Amino acid sequence: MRDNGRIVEHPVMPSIRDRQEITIFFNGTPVTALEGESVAAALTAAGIRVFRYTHKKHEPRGIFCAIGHCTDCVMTIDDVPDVKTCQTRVRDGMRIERKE
Amino acid sequence: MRDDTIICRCEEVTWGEVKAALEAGLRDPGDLRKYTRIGMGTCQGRTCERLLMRLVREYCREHGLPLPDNDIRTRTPLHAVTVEAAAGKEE
Amino acid sequence: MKIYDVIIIGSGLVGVSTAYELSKAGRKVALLDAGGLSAGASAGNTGLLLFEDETSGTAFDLCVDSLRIYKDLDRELEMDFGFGPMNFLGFFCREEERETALRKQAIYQRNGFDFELLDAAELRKKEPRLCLEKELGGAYYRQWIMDPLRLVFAYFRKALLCGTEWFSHEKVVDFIREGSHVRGVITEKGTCLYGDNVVAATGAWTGNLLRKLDVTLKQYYIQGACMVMERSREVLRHTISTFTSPRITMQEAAAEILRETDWADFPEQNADEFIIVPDTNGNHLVAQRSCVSRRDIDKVPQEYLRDMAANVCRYLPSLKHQRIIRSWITPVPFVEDKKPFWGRLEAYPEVIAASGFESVLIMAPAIGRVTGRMVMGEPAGYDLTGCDPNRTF
Repeated sequence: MRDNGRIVEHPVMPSIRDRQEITIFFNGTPVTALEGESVAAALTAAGIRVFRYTHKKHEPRGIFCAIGHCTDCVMTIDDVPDVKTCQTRVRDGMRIERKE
Repeated sequence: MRDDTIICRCEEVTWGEVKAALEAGLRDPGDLRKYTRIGMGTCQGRTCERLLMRLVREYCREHGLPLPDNDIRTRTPLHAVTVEAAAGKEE
Repeated sequence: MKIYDVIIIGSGLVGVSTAYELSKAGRKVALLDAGGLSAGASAGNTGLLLFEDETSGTAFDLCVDSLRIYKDLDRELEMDFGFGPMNFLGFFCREEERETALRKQAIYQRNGFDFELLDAAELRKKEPRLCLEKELGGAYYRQWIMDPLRLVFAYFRKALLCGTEWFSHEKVVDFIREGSHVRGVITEKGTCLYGDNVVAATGAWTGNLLRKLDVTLKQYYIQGACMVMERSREVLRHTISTFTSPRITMQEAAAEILRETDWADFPEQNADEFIIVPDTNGNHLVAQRSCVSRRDIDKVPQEYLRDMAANVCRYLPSLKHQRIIRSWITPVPFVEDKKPFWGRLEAYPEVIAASGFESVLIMAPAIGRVTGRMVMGEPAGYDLTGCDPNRTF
């Protein structure tokens, strides 16, 4: 679970081996996340790649720049709409919604 | 670059739409922004502006047109700010 | 040497609609702008098409005829510009507004437009997210909206297809004169253009332009600030505003002051207007913190942004998390007697002034046609005596 796409050991960044597991909710479904990671990372590791659908053509969007620049990755978090998931750290009990 | 290649991800503007505006007589990047909506989305051109300017200059050179001499104008707020923060009412 | 039938200075709605009508009629048109396409009020407004309270006589006829043109304009210009109905909710801040509302209701209903007076509970039922402190009620009415940028582009594109020549970033610095006749214009870049007629469709900049001919147009301007929020899923169902526009009240007060005081001594006037519009693209547009000032305000001051945002928090607190992505400010001309300067100049009959329109959006198609007729020497089709650009105050 820990390494579903996550980099466990990195030459520069600290290891994530000792990170606490917490639970966040995606459209009501519980998802295991690691303390300290971004919402975008947690969802990606859980196999969720589509974060929203576009306004005009209803095309799927997820992570694009991953540095808080492009606003492609926004989702509703704890009832606040349009939050950049790549810039927001997970919190135990956090509710994330994707509108279908 | 295909006609259906997305240039502006926020407003889903394709190269075909930008080309139509160029062919209709627009070249000023501010005009392209106003009339195709490119750069009008949440990121206000941060992601697409450089690509747009490169494509416009290439198009102008290809068609023997004068190059635009200005960029998309920056306006406040420089970064998207919530209404409550702008009102000074953030908790 | 090429001689145009008409040189149109200014590519806002007045300029592009006139260019289209004249090109369509087979005339040789040159369209100029000091900047790009439509940099002034035509590009900075909310797109709302409204009959104002004071509309009567010629202005009313122009509005009605214009709306008729609007309904088929997308087919004529072969471009959809988002024209469609818009529902309005105007709430009262003072009891006296109810009387004005009743008068407006009579006018609207007589002309077949929806208009209903509502109490506070009914208002909230129409728009549950609206928060009003003093439950006074308001009015519901229907008018129209369109995307003003797309309309400018639609006219521009068609005008060029019909033969209009476009000169962008060519600021007119002087007129080419021969005795008491104007033969053309000279631009900052040194371009000389010759034409039989010149139309000054330069909005707030018309005063500056015509000063080069020693003609003074007593046209002042209101600086209106707007801001736009990022697109949200739950867009409002109505345009919501105060029923009475503080901007119009300020404009009347300013006109009063100008009757006694010179512009050189004009004290700055401010008005805090609240209007929020779910525009044709699904964004919320908020306008408009306005100001009548001798200062040329180019950037939106932070206080304006703060005041507009505070109004949103006050009346629609559920929108407080929405992010503002851009703000802008544009000058809109106003004239003491509320009529435009529209017609040939006595001193230079080749020059037609076409600016100072109060409701330019709703009248744009008709303005284009009428200005076109003026250029071609045809009868305007309306009584325009009140709009004589040579009139004095």
